[in-house]
Amino acid sequence: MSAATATNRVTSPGDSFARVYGGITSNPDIPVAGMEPWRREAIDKVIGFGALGNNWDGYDSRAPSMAIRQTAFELLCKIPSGPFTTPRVVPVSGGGYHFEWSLGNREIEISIEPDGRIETLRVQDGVPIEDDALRDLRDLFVWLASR
Amino acid sequence: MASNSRATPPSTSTSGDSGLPDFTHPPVDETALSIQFGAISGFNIPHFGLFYDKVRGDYPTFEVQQPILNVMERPGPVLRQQIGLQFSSLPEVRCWFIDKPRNRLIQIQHDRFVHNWRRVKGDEEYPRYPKIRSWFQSEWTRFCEFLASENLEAPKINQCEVTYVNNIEYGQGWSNYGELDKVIANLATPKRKGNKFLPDPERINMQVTYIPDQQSAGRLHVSFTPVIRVRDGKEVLQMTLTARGAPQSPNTEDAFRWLDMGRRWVVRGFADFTTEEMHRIWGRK
Repeated sequence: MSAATATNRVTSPGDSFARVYGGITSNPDIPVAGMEPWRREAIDKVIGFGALGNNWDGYDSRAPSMAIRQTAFELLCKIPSGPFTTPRVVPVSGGGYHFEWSLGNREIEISIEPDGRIETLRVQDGVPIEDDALRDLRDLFVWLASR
Repeated sequence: MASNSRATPPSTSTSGDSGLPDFTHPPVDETALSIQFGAISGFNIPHFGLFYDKVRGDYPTFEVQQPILNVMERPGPVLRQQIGLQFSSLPEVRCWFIDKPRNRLIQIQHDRFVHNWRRVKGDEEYPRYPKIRSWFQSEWTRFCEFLASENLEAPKINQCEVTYVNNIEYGQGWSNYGELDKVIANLATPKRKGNKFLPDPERINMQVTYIPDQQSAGRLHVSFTPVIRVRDGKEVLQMTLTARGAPQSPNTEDAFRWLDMGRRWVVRGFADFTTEEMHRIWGRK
């Protein structure tokens, strides 16, 4: 479990790639056999941005911390399987991550802030859905896939 | 109250290690020693907190996990896992108590006690089995004393387990899945046989089970699976060896004897399964 604490936790869906500590070991390493290519590519991008140098954005930002990277891994592993492509992944100033998935006229944006908060946004036909009560990760991606 | 499972000081002898393969820098990333017992009557949610109070000086952090399934190795070709459906009032909780550097943790649930050592930063030196055993012995004693202080029955031990997780890194003796024969002994590859049809494997996922000793009730499980190591994002081939079985009796001394034997299975199995080339890299003595 990462040291960063998300303020709006997403719940873990059943058919995700989330690591379940079912045995007696505790290591959080992510099994990759059978992992969907989009998920593996997203994880590789997270890893890549972890190597950013100091002041990478010109505003004195550092690379995302290990805690934030672990939060990102956990998030990516918890997304349920579906007709998804590799998300756009960009680093966020201060040391976070921003992810965007698109499918048809729908989008999901998920940001992991430097302090560990997770913010989500749904967009349909280019218009953000305001006051969105949908926070469950599975529900978000079911919505995305059901366009 | 049964007294045969009290934490009587188990033998600390590891004299059976004579001739055991030994490595200067084995690729061990985590070890876990586990004792499983019949559900302790009366053990419930408040006891997790009471036990935490006893150990928080050494293990200040806690996490709550889903409980581990009750697992019994039985002779014959039967399912090794019992997935029983039962209605009970047993606490469906497993608690981790983690030390400050996060290298060591204790896990408890109503029918299991586990102690883990793991690498966190990656540069920690593997402390070796005698030290790990000593830690486990101390914590098991503390747990049993806690149960006694709460007037709970002593554990009736029914299964012991030893797990070693090893990370075999690319670029150290091998560089892709086409060179697995440089890691896994007795692995015949198509090119060796002159079969040119199959390309190099994209990945491997392997699980093998052995019964090292027909007289003892136990098995050795060996698995290989590629993982992304979270602490540095590298993909490694993770080799996990688990020895599991029933001790001769439910008492602590026999449980520790079984753990010592299980660990010898793991070490011998690790050496048998991997190549001499890799042994040289890991500094076999």
